[in-house]
Amino acid sequence: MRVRLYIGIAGAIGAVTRLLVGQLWIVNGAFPVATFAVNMIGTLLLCIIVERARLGGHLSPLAVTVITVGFLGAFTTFSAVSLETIQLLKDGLMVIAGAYVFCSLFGGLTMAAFGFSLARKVS
Amino acid sequence: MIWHIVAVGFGGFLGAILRFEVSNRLNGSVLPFGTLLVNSIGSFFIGWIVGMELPLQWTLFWATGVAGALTTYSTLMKEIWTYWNEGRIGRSAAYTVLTFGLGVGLAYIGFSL
Repeated sequence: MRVRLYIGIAGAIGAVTRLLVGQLWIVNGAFPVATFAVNMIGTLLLCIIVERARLGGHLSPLAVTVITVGFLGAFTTFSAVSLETIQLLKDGLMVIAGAYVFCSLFGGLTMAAFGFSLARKVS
Repeated sequence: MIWHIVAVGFGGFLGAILRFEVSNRLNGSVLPFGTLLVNSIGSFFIGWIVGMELPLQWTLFWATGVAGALTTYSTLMKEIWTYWNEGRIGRSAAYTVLTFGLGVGLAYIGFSL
């Protein structure tokens, strides 16, 4: 039961951090830079932490779950990517919509690969 | 501003716990169906909420908070990359197409309701 409470609190902090990134980092232009940045940073951190834990890092399993599932899970978001993509399509910005999905997908996979290899190097 | 933070915080609290419960029960060896389910439902839900044009406070709670935290991008990328890295190219590609196809499609259906 306590795990759920910790995950909920970490999730609240993650979601609020995402809100603040979006509100404090005002960017002109149609490309959803805030969501993109949040998802790239969150993916990098998650993969570093998960791989470090697998290789026998210092964090307890509970801390790893709370940080990755709670904070980083809520900090990053897939629903905003879906919503922003259809909003770009509705505005007729097909190229930006396509570029957004492409960059999110391949940028995210690059961040994941980078995170895993970084964690192995540090070990 | 403080009420925006409170609304998103409460939504994030609920969304994260719900995702934890669903992922724990449904993420199997064939595909992470739990992650797929929360990302699909969350995409439908955020489209529906934003399409309803609720007052800002409620949009922040339901869309930015609940739907934002219910869905996740970091775990999704980790899962796709892990399949790819294990040489399960087909599974990796199928999971990617399924997630993005359902996400964008369901967000559109939700928004159009």
